Amino acid sequence: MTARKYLTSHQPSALKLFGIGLMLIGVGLFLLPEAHAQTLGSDDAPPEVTRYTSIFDSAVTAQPQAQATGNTPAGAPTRYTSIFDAQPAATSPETVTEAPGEAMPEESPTPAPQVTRYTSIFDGAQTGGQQPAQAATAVPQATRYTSIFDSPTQAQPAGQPTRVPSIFDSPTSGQPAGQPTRVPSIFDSAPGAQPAATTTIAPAAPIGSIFDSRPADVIRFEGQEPPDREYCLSCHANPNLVMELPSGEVISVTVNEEEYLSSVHGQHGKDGYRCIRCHTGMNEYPHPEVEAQSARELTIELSTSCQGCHADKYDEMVDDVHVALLASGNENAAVCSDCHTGHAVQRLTDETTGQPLPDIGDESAAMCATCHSEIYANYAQSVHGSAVLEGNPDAPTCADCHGVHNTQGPSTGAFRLFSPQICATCHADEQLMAKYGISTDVFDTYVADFHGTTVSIFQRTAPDQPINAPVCADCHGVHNIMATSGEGSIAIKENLVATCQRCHPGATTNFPDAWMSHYAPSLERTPLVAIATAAYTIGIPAIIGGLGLFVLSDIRRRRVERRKERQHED
Amino acid sequence: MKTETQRKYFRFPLAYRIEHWVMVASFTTLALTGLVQKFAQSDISIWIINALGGLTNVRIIHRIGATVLILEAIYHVGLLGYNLFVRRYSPDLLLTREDLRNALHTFQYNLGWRKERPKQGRYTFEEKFEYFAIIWGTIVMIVTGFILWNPIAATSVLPGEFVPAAKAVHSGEALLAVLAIIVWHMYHVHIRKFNKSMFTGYLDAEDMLEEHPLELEALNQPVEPEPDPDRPRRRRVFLTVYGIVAAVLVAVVAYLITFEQTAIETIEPIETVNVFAPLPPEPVQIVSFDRPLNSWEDGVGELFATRCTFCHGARMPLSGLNLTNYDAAILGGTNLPAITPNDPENSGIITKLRSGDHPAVLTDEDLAGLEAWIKAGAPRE
Repeated sequence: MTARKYLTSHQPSALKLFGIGLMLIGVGLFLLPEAHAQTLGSDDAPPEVTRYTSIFDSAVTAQPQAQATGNTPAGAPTRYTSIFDAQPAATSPETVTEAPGEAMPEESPTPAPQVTRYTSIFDGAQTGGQQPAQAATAVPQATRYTSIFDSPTQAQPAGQPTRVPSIFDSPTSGQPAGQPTRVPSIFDSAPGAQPAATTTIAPAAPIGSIFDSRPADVIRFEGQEPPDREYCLSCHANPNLVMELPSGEVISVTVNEEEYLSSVHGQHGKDGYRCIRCHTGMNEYPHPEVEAQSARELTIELSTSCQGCHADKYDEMVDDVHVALLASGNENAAVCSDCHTGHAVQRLTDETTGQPLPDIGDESAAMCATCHSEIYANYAQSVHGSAVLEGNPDAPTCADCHGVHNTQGPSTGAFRLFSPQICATCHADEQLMAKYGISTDVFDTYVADFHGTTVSIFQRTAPDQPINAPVCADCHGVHNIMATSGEGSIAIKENLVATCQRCHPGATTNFPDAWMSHYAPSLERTPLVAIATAAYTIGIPAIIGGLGLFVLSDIRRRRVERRKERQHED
Repeated sequence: MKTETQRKYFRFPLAYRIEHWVMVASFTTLALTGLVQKFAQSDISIWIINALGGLTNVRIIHRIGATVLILEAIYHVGLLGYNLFVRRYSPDLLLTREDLRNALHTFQYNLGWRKERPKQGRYTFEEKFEYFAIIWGTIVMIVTGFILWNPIAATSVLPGEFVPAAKAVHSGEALLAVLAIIVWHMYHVHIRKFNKSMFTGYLDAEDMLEEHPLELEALNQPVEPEPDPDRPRRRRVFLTVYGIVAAVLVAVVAYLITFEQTAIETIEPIETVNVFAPLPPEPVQIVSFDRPLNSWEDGVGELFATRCTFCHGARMPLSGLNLTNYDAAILGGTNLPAITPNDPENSGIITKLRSGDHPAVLTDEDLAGLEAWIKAGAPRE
């Protein structure tokens, strides 16, 4: 099934089409001539649905379409104007030149379409000055945000002497080698083949590094073979290895080899990835001094190294709320390793299909719980959470509603307004709902009701506006969502009054019956509504048909008379 | 004869015409702003809603239209009363059996089953039908509209189900009214023949003859109006009574417009929870050796093997220190003597670890055990 873009009612009837047709005539008659022209124009336009960018649209589809139709609503671009928009443009030359590199050919695909994907409407240069105002703002943004998420290679263009060398700079970065755009990486294979020397202990004299505070014991890798894991673990397997940071925090720098080897990185190839693949710059001892002031800073710094191989995930995160928070200076915002861990990274998606593995629901929820423990506690008790924790692969885990890597901030008007579609992904799926005996009528009945109609209209007319019409979660709850049967459920009338009163403070005990509880009108449940609906469903065609018949008879009569008059004149 | 057909007959005074156009304005406004909500899924509806400045505006406009229509209805009741009670007009607007027969006969005439078109008076059955449809529709729409406008007040008296039922009726009746106007009114007054009487007030003789032959006859035989000395009194009485009634009704309308605030205007938070509530980080674990350190053979050697020889081993003795065997350990590193028997103060192992300037650490107990071992002469066995 396809996820519905907008809340729509599935009750098309001849009457409705008839009504729309007549309304068209009515509009033409009553409104200005321009209105008529516009109406006709919109028939030729692509389906309305594509025009409005939903928060659920991936950036890929939303942007090009908005551009193609030229109908981008004035407010819409701001939604996708992420601070990271400008970045991939800067990234592309880097990644492209890196692609033919010999060191890790299998890991850096960075396909060309991704480059074009984000250089669409917000890049002033490409659009040929179509939006000069935006282009002007885009340039400073590019420079401003090339901080923490840039891989070290791109953060330091060739001609910036003022920059303090970072620990993540590869040691050879000072060399003005033949590759001006790209700082040589430790992953580069050697230009001159030398015997695969393991490690050599250098002479006592200090060599080069600005970090050498102690002249003795500098160990460098004079050959081209980078240190392997075994080499690093010869120290870091020590269970009591700690490091004190300037903040006073003491962190463990012990690596659990067993844990690493069971991780997806540890299982790569014959022997797993080398440590320095992520811990770039750590290819000498004593290690370069850590610049991070606190454990959190260190975590954030280290997570930037993920981009080297997982650039596609970084691209996905362009619109992610965590990324935006981090960029705004909130150090608590999650970075890669907060969810995926540093050394125990596990595979979460199917290697061939890229789809999430079916049995990771509880693990993935636990990841989010690291920072969102209170929400997790609510969720774990809910009908969804308890099912996930019992291993039910159908029930939604955090990511099913919030997304991964493109997590949206749930406090925006747009998120609220479009949240029914999140529920619809499962609750409009007849096959899935049949398994649990849940009706999929909930959306049609919601849209048919005043609340849902309001929401569906706002989705298309003011997609960013925070509105107070209730969405699913207002009545059913969010993370603490309960089944609609059983104690404490909203379906019990006393509870329903309380639910209504949250928005309708004056509501009395009769009031909840004004809500038809997601049931279509029926003689058993709502006889008045059923009779009224039936009366007009039958009455309108009958009465209008009768009137029309009379009109037709009059038309016939007038034609007969005109013919007679003509004969009379002849 | 020619002058006769060109003659115009006065049909609607200005007040009637103004009333009609007020009605047209409010009806059109209501139909437009209402049907876009009824057919909310339609692209045209969305276009109109956008053109009117959004759904909130549409709903405000709808209520303004409704208020105008209600005020117009109150005025119309007064007009009817005045015409009947003060002017003593005959109630020729009422539907009679004659009208039903006229309708049937007209239909039969249209189909050619009857030779003559029935002769009708001032108001034809077509006009009467439309008039009463509007009277009926307006009452239905005002009642159901009130319930929808004030659902909390309504359900304090009526069962809750009346609200969705009112919505079904309001929406069905709206569609019926609009379609009736388009099919019936538009055809008879604009398409069949463009009737200008609602613009100019006059209808020409040809149209009069065709549509209102009985009225034409009456108009052509004018009768002297009888003197009516009682009229000023009736007028006074009526205006007093109606004035009071109308004032009350208008006051009620004014009150009801702002009577109920159905819903709060803020957005209530769905859940109150700390979004960022991180689990406490795992404390750094220093693994204790936790065994007696009596001699190199009994404890110390193994402590070094599991804690120190990662870096101070045979393969890569950092600082030249090799702690894999007793002799090498006693030999010490390049900078400091590692172990000076009996003298922990001069033993690099102890001072370095105590200084905190060493990446690997031992628990205080292990360090104390090591110190005791050195104090005891660092015995091999």
